[in-house]
Amino acid sequence: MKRREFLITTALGAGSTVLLESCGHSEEKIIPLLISEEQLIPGAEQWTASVCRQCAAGCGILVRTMMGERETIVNGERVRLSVRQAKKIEGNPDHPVNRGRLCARGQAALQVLYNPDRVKTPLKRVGPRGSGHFQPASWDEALELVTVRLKELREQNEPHTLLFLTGALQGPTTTVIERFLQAFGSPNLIRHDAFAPDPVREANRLTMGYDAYAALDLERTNYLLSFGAGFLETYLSPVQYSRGFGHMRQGRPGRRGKIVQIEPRFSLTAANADEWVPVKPGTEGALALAMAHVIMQEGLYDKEFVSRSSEGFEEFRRFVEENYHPDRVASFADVAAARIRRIAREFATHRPALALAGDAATAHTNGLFTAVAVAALNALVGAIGAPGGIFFDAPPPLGPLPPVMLDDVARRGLDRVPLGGAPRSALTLAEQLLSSQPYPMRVAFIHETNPVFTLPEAAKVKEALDRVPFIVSFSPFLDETATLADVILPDHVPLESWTDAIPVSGTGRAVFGIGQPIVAPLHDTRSTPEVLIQLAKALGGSVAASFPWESYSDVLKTVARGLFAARRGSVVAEDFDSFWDQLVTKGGWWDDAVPSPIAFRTPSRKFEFVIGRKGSGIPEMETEPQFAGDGSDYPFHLIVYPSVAFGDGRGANQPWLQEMPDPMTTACWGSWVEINPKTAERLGVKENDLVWIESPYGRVQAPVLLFPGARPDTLHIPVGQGHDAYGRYAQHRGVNPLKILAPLREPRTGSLAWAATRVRVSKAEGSKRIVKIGFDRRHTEAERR
Amino acid sequence: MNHRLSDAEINRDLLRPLVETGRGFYLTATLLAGLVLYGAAVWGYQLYTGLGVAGINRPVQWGFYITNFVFYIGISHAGTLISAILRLCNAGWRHPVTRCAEAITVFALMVGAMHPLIDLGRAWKFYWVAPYPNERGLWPNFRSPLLWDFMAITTYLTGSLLYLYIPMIPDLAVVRDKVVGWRKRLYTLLALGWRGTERQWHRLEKAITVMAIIIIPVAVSVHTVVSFVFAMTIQPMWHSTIFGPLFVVGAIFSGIAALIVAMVILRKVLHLEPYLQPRHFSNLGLLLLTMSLLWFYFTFAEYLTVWYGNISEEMENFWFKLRGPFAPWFWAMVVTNFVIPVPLLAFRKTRTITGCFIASVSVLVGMWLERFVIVVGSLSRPRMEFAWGDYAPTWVEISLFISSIAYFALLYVIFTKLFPIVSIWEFKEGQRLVEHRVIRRVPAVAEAD
Amino acid sequence: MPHWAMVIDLDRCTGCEACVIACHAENNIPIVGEEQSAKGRQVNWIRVERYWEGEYPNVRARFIPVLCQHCDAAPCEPVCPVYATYHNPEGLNAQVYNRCIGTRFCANNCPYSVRYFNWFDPRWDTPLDEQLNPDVAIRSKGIIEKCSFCIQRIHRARQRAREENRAIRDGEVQPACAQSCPAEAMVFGDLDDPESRVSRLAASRRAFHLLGELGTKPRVIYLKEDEWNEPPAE
Repeated sequence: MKRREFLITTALGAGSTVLLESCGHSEEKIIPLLISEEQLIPGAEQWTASVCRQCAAGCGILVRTMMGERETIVNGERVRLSVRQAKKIEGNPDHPVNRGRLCARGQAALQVLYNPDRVKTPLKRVGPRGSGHFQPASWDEALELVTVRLKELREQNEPHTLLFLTGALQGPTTTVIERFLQAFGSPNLIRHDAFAPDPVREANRLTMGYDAYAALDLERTNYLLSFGAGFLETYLSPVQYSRGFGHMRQGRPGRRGKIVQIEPRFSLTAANADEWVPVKPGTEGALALAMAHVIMQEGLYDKEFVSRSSEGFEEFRRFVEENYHPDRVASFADVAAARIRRIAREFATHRPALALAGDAATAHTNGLFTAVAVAALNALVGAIGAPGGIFFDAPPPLGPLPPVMLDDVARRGLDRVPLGGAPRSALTLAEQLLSSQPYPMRVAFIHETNPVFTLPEAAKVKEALDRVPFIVSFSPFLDETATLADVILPDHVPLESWTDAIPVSGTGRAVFGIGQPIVAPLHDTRSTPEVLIQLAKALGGSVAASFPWESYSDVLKTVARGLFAARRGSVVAEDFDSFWDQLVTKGGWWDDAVPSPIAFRTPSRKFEFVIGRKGSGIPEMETEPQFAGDGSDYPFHLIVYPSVAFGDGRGANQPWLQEMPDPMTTACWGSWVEINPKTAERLGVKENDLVWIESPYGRVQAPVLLFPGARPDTLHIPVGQGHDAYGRYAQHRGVNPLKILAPLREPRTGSLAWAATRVRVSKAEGSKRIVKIGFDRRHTEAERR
Repeated sequence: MNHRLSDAEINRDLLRPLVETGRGFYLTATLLAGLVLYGAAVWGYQLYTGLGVAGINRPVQWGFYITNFVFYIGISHAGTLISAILRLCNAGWRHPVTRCAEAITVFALMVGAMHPLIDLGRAWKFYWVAPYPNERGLWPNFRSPLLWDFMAITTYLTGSLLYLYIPMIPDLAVVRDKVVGWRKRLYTLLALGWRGTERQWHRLEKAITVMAIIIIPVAVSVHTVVSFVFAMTIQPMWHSTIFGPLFVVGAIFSGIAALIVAMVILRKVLHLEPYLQPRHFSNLGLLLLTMSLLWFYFTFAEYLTVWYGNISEEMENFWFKLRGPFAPWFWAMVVTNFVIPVPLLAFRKTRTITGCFIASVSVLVGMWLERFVIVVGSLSRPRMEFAWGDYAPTWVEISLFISSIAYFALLYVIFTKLFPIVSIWEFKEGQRLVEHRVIRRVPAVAEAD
Repeated sequence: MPHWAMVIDLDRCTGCEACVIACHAENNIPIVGEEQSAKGRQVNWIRVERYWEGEYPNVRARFIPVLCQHCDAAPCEPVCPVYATYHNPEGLNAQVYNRCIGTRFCANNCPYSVRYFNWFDPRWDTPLDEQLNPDVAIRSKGIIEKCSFCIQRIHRARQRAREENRAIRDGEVQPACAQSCPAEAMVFGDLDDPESRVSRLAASRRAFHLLGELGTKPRVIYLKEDEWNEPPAE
């Protein structure tokens, strides 16, 4: 108790203090390295390390805290408390992902913490499901509601009917979730991250044996060929890549790297590239192979790498020569054969060179084919494990947790076929929930993911979740999915709790980021891993026994022992206590850079040119893209894109990001559809005219934005707006184009082929002025006449 | 030519508005006062809420308020300058016109000077531009054209007030001798013990002459200084050397127009037909014609130099006004300032009172548009293309514009109620001078030899 | 005495807007909302301008972050009637909020259009106001505000240096925008120190001033190279 004393600076007078206890267990959340609140000095700043959780990149951050005042009501009296407040977030200069830099979204995490629309107490549903009517509940009451349900499942021998949906983060939080499910007896952990380029990861696994995203050595590369990956905006680790980009451009006197961006939309990344190739959607893989064709035919490939470290080159070569002659590809990819040849030659002769795939390029039904083809390009120029190429980090040597205790109930449950198919996909899960096959789900836990918003309406996520009798959400905000919950156990936001992150994209070294609670929780919320530990204890038996920790920080200490034992990397100490102190002070541990060349983990221990090979576990890959909607009825491709401000939409409740102009259009506070000006002229629509965008699965209305960087046959709508819930800044603003996408998927990974929907455009009534902060001479002046 | 009016007739006619008050006056005054109060309330709302209730923005930081400011300051040239020039040139027909013009000057200045205050973000701190010893330990920044404006306008207002007041003293004495009660005391005070002695007349003539000489450069400088607010900046199409004379010409131009409009109304309402005769309008109409031609020439020169100079930022601005989104305002300005008034005023047949009135109203609209084109038009297209923007006034600005007109009219109406709007003694003197001059014409020539 | 300056390398700048949010967070810049944004009343002490060139498919976009250029010959300074904007001894174009009466003359005379007016009193939905930086004043309605080169950070650095009895080190002061920049496009430092990074970059052949022909002597120096060229064969 004594740690959490808040001085009342006015009203109650000297000597009287009030003890503010958020939930009665805060002794566990001791903040080890911060100055205690009563010792704060006005005007003095303190910087505390943590990790950013605004996306999966896992940047290290430093949070500036200072003493501030908060007006609150204590015992019916209005008082001013002096409290620690978070003032600013900056990048952690030591952290290998972002080296002190931070993107707009990362900095806006302050507005997650201080968001006026947070869920302030546990809630239980009172109205019909989805109505958004909730009633505050105490933690005891809310936890009891959940515990009863969970106990029921175990008593009825159905622990496998507990579903856990979570986001893309990796690290000990996920470990706790996995462990909880195991001990409970459910195999049903499904991760869902709307724009995670799963095919890229799968391609890395198939060709190089790493089920991970590669580290890109942009700093040393001379030529970067990017197939769709918006690596300067939302792709995996934009801050890290931006830094590499800056260095590639101007960090090396006399050497300016070239970037070629191959994608239908003139994205921010394309705008920064030296060359933009507006390829026909879905043909990126074929284009990559056409380039491979040129490189192989002209003997420009890295013969040493190919002969020494690759497998299946001849088959690959035959296959490519037969099928992907540049002239043939040029006929359908809408890129001139001469240009294909030129870029291929440049790419092969300006080494170190590096190819990269992602975003819309891999969000087709043939996304895996594209990713694998691009991996092959890397092999051809010897970019794998070479300076200026790609690398794979080892996972950080985290300490093992004691084995999970399994009772018979749990064992039986774990033996059941998991939902979501293989590999796990939220889309498949939704189908299975709807059909109650292979078995119905009885309880769903939803954590750090919002599939109702981020999956197409045609995927029927809402209806599918409605089949689950009891839904528990851990969301700190009433987003679209949380609105469906029966009980909401609001999580702390990262700045209030112990947090951790293993970066999703490789950095060339193992990284484990950690963050301590930086400010006292603002509301009556609890950290989700803590809640899971509590639930486990309440369930008793082997489940409780699997969690021999008082709190989540104990779990972190246990895993940190592995890092301590490694005795290398960024933190090395004599004893664990000082190791722990340093670890938390520095905001994480990172290994020394990985040495090149890398060891392939494929069966052949070599790079495998998967394409063109048959058998030995090589999957059949779709080479031709499938599209939803007939070309004659639906003449346009709709390629949505995660917005720089909101990502998949989770940033939309942060007013800084709402008001932040979109870099390419300078538009803010709304949605728009980007149309090539010539196409718009043909359609008879002007800037700001409202149009219907209709796919076979639904339609949305948005104002037209004349965009000189759109292909004439392609439309673009940014993702992030169009929330039905999610607080005052986000709700009822703009449109969510994900709604009308077809539920097509890349068959191998089950990931949504979000670039594969075709649409038609029709004029709607009226217009809506797009709020732009920058004057656009071409279109503003034309519109006025 | 009308018959010669007797002194008694003159006194009766010109003092009538002071002693007889009809329903029309009360109605007009109430309506105007209502509008003024409404304007005050709107300004109060703006002060309380913030300048954001107006339509100004970035880049168009100045809109209706500054347009109105320049417009009113322009109008203010009606009086003092015109009457001073006419006096110094000894124009024989001037006598019924001068007071009417001088009153316009004072009220237009009062209303005009109010507008920068309305336009201030923190209007309650307006006195910080005044140089006085203060707790901030700061003089105002004498390098700022706004400060020059502040100085010029206060000087001009003081001068104009004096210039309105001094020639009114003999008339005030007449009024003093006609009225009773509190008004007697008021006019006694204002008449400063005027007895009409030779010495007093001598001094009055001297003072008027000195004031007339002083006020002309002041008036010219005032509008030049107003133009400096724009011309001293590096904003494209503001940074122009012709702005000084252009503004002065425009000011006299709009001033004459305002004077004609005021005279037409006064003539009608106060039944001053014997005093304000067609020849006065015709003469003023000729002056207006001259100014219209001058205005056209200066404006042409302004745009010509920009066009010939062909600096890209200025050309953006140029085309924006001539054929871009701002073209309707620009061409409306050319039409109302030149195309309409010139033919009307050029021919004797159309240079009637009605013709002059139409031309003057047109010029008033046109000169307001000119200020609007200069202020808003130029600001809409600053150097950085990314920052280009546009402007539309809100109900607040429109309300305050209407209210400012009402305020001006109200001041004028009250003035005519309290003071003879045609100078009694000057009119009488004028009548006599005409006779005198006829008698003395031959000897005068002889003397010159 | 240092003479602060900033170098912005447009070959590095990606236009990502991180600097814009950094500035919002550091300098208590209010959010004005959709309606006011539509009226051109957003406050962005730093904004990223985007210019289009060419038509599809040969389209290009150029980004240029524009903030107060802290001109040595600042056109905004002489026109203020109340000395609310002046040049401080370290070369900063400083805005004194308490003196400003809101004529907006400075904004009209700024060729870079980087001066922002407070059309209303700023408002934060509680508890968003807990984030406000106590080192930076909140500006009331009716006054002009603009980039200060994060003068509060300069003050803190100077204080730190004084406590440690040393000079401010190169790179020690970073305005929020430069600090955040993911591509490391912005460098801040002392132009009087020939050894500072900013001095060395400012001497680059790629250096230019925005609207340099006006002779405002900006303290923000931009760097920009031409296109990528085929390097000579090795």
